[in-house]
Amino acid sequence: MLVLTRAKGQKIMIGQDIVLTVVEVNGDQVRLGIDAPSDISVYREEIFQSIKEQNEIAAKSDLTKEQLEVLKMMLKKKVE
Amino acid sequence: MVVRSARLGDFHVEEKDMITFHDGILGFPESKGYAWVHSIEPNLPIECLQCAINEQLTFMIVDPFLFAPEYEFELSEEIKQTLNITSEEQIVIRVILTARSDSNTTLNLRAPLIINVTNNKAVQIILDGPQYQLQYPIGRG
Repeated sequence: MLVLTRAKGQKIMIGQDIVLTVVEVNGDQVRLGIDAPSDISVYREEIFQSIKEQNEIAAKSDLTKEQLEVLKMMLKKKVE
Repeated sequence: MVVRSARLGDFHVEEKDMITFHDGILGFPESKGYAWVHSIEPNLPIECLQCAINEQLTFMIVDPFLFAPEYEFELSEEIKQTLNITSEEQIVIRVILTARSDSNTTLNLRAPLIINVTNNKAVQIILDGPQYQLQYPIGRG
């Protein structure tokens, strides 16, 4: 991993069109500004991981007959 | 075309039901094309996304507004551009359903699927805020 030292207000460029700016440093927290093209997605890592895990569980899951019955009942109630 | 599916068996799908995810579904970046199967259970509004290149990869999806009528979010201009959305009628929202081993069924309201039904482009986005539950419970079996 490349490790760089930067001060408040300084920037890092990733390629030609992604720019990270150190906006604020406060104890062990850092605020970063990110400028990137709209087709680049930016995520907080732990949130990305939680969605990825959820998607992986979902892809493996299948509804049992009992669960299907519960869903049917729920939707019926909503209609009534 | 014919799509292979471990869960649904092989089936024919028309071009109009093939969806392309710009970045894939999060965690599955290599799989971009999915067949949209509109009904997998009689009398239940549960749909399926079957990956076109991986027969093992299937997602159950539902219309979130059927289960969570209060659900709402703002679609960013970037997403509209990515999907070439010019009017609201082009947009269909789905969320992924998980049948959990503890017999709960949950919806991922945190990361909805945005589909432009006129060009079949789609993305999974991540919403910010505590009201968007990763595991929104919709019933215990």
